[in-house]
Amino acid sequence: MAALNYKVLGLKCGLEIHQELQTKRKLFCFCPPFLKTDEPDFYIRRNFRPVLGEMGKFDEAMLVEYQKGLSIIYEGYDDVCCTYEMDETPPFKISQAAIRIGIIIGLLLNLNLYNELHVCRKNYLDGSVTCGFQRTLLIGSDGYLEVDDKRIGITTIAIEEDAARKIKEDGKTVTYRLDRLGIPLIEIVTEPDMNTPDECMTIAYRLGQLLRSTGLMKRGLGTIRQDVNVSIEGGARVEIKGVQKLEWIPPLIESEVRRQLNLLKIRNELIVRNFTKEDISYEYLDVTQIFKKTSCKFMKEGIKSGQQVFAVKIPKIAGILSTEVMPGKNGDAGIRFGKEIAQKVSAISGIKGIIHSDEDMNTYEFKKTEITALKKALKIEEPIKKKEKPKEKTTETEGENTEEEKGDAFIIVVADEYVAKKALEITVNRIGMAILGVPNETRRALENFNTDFIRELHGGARLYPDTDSMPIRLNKDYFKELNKDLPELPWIMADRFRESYELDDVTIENLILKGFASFFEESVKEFKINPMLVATTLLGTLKSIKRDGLNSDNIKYSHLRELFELIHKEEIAKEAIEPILKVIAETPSLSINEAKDQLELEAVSLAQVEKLIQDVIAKNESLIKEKGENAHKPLMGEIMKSLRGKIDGKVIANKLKEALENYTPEESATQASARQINRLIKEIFTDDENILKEKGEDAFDILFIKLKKRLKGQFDEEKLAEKLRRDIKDFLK
Amino acid sequence: MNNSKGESKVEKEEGEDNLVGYKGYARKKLEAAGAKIWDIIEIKKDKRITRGIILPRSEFENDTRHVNLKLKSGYNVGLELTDSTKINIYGREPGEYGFPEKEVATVEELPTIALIGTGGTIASRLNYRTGAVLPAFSPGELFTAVPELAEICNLKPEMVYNLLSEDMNTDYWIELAKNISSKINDEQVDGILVAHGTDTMCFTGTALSFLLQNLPVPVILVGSQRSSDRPSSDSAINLINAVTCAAQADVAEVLICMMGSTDHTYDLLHRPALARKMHSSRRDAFKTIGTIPFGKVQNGNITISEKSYQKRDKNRELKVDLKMDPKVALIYHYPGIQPELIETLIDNKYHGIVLAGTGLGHISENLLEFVKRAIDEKIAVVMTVQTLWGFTGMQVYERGREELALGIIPGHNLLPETAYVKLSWILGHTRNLEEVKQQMQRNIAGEIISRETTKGYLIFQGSKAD
Repeated sequence: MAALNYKVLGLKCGLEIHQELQTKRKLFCFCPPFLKTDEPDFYIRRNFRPVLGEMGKFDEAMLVEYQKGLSIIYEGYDDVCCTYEMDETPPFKISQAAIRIGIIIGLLLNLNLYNELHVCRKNYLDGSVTCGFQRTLLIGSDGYLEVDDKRIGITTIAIEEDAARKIKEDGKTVTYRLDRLGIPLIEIVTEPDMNTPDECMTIAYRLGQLLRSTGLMKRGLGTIRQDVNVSIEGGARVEIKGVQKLEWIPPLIESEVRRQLNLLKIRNELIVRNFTKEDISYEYLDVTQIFKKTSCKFMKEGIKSGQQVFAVKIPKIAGILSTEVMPGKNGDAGIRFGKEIAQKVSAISGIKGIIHSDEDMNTYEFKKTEITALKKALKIEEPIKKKEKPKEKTTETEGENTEEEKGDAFIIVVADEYVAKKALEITVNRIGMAILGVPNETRRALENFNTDFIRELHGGARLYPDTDSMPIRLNKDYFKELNKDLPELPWIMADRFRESYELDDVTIENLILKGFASFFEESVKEFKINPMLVATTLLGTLKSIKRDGLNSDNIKYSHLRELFELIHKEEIAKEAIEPILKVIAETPSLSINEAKDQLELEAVSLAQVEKLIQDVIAKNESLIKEKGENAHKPLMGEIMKSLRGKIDGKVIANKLKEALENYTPEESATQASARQINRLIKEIFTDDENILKEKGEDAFDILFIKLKKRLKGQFDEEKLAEKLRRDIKDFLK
Repeated sequence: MNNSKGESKVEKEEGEDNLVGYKGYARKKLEAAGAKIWDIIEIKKDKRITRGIILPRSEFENDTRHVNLKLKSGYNVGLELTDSTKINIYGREPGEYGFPEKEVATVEELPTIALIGTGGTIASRLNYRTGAVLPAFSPGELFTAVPELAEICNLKPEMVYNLLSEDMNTDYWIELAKNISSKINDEQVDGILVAHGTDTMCFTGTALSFLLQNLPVPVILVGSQRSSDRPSSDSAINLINAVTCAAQADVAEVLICMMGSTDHTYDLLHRPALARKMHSSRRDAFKTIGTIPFGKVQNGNITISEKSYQKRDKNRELKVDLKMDPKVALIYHYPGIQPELIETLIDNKYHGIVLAGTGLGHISENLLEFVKRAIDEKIAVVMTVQTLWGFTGMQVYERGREELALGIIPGHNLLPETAYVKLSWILGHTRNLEEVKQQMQRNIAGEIISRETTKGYLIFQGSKAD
């Protein structure tokens, strides 16, 4: 495929970023904002009904949704869901922390901020919000982000509640989990000021970086989500949702640009064929009779279950439906126009698909007579110059063939009458839109960078006031105060870090992205310790604690401050950082000093180290005999077990090396003697007579553990087990 | 969620006032600029320009500085007006709100149900522009919103009042009962549906149970806890189940029909005199106290659990008894209660007092003397229990015996609200204390429970309701 010249094409991209905020509670209730993975505590079943809209009409999409008879099941958890998420209690006082974060970001992005905020409702009809609408409030509009001397307009910033998570869709039941519902989000909408796919990715990265660098955002998978909107000259704004990774942005945009170009090609072809709105007909014909004896399986089954077959004729467009709009990728088939329409019909009406005349009728196992009868019923005129359709047709060869194919097309659907007619109406309308080129749509990003239809883009946001809330007035001084302490922009901060600290770029970026920057600076300044040590603690140690399955969230800045102070005072060695923090992660109520005491971490004298080394050497004579100086590594590990954090590892390593070099093997005195073992077994038998009497030979397991403990590893395990078994047998006799 | 009250009033005045809800400085500033509600304006302030449509403001806002704007994005915001703010008018976009009315033909075979509107969430819809909640009750509107109703019955809706349910009183109850009786006697309907605010639905239902005796057809009260502009509303399911009941149930009593669980699956039927709204906002707020609910409606099926009740009989002659005495008070006893409360009632010539006493029906010593005075002055005093569940047991403790000796009438299992309505009705007929006592203790509308079984006390502690 030829490279695209985005400048010539007039590409315009905008972004919509949703990022969860780091707050103690949800936006409108006092539930903690955490996600759950265990079994739900309760389930709620709800049905949504279409509501009359602003102009007193039912929302069309909602009506169709309702006709599908969907039921929603919500999974709830007592610790993170209350009656608010259940839509059983009106909203509580809004989280002030969330508003504060919204304003800080608003100030950073130079927005026009409002001093009276009004909670609004945004309708969501898919069940993702229990009450059917999301509560949202506009913080400000008309800001900008300056990147490399270019201003990217920020249209709006809003604070809103996150929706419930979709867990599964199972026939007529959709399951959502309520844990995420109500977690505060910031929504940033940019102007369509980005003109290349790469620029769009850069801006998305910059905005994400800016948000995270404040340390006010929730971290982790799924906490940031971005939508991209794309249009080219002559095309239309198409919103792509569910862009999971930044790297997806450029290929998705490219794919969408190609789709719009192909749709424009179709438009041009329709103009050439003189296809106009007048050609569109909504006369749906019930053709069930024609297909009564069909061998097309799903149609046969449909008719049997009482469904009907409806068809419509669309003049002049034969061949158009097989035009490719999205290229095939990684072996996937390309998406042709007919398929794109089918996806839309399926998304709205719920039927599996449509059958159209540009498809090979043989694959459906239709008889020739059926198609002839259908064409006759629909009064379809055959093209003047009939030509076999090539089976595999690509966009490139399209232009040459269409000239001769100006016949009529037909569409067939099988469904209940209401749904069938609805499906045909959607199809016909969509073909009508093709005259204008690209319709405004919201589409879902796919992993192969193509997209799938979600819904038609709403004209204006369908917002209306929340009658459950009062306006929130903000004091002028509040803005001033926040403006004074505004966080530094991350890229400016990064430049400064590069100059001030000896840190590599990756570390600097991670410190900033993970929101550690200001704490890092404070700590380095206050405790005068090595910046790299602080950075490693924040970036490496916390991560490795988490990897060990401990709750690193329990470690607070106050703990780290205390820890750095002890290092500063040289009361602990840097090796002590991880074990101490592990204790805190397990028991967050402890102070660092208490954690240290619990680990008995005290600086040890060199004499103590030497003694310990001698002990370990004595215990491992056979190993040393066998491996010589190579025994250094396993021995080091054993010594570190008891000394970790008390003394610099390097000192121990040197001492151990020295000791190994000086080691002269002596006759082993450490294996427990047979007499010793006999005595111990006897002792245990006396102590645990009850167990023996009760369990008989089954007492072996318990007694063996006890015996091993007393012998402290000085034995051959197999022989010992054998001996114990024998003795138990004797004893029981 | 029971919509912000009083906003409908704002709507009414819209024709008269071009700047509804605006006060003080903001009003002056807007007036000076010649701006009216629904004008498209541009506000210039600190070099920033904001464009939007002026929206009405709530009457109950004390603020005098802000203007409500609807922006192009659809969001509403408030902007502070100052001396340096400049306002320019660019046009006008009045807030119209059309509501389609679906015409429904009468179907001979279907029963005819009268739907009487009194106000409340169930009969309301939202003005999307202002957020105001407006009454919506024409037949066309109802059939548009809940088309299923047309398949169950021929519905004859009539808006009798548009009241917030806390504004109800004995006069309204009597008028409502009259209206119902004429629908039964003159229009020969097959059932009555009363759409009512949920807050005082039990009071109204209890009153109707006394005012309308010997009913030939059912009278079903229905409401909603979520207004019908919400996709998650309970109004449709409640209406459908209530209509099903009014049209098909073989019952001729006054009943409440409201959702029985937080799931959108079924409604429970309650005798109003035994029921109480037990949650301020949940869909399943209504509970029968002291016994199991009367019945259940689910997917068109009606199951009745109550053993003894009056069956439907169109030939039965309705007994309408519209006398009620509004001079009755309901006093909740609390530690530290001052006797002036009772004294005031005596001085103001009240005819009856219902006390919600502690435990088995007790009041503090300092009240006794005044209660005695009340009874001496021919004021009927009835004792009920704050615990809601359980009976008065005034013979058990010393204090109760003292109260009985004074002539306080034990209210048995009567809920305080039920005792209040019942006493009002009785006092409409007699002020002879002995007769009042006899009537209070007579079961008139199924309000008295003679046996409390273990199922009487289902309050779902420690397990999921239902």
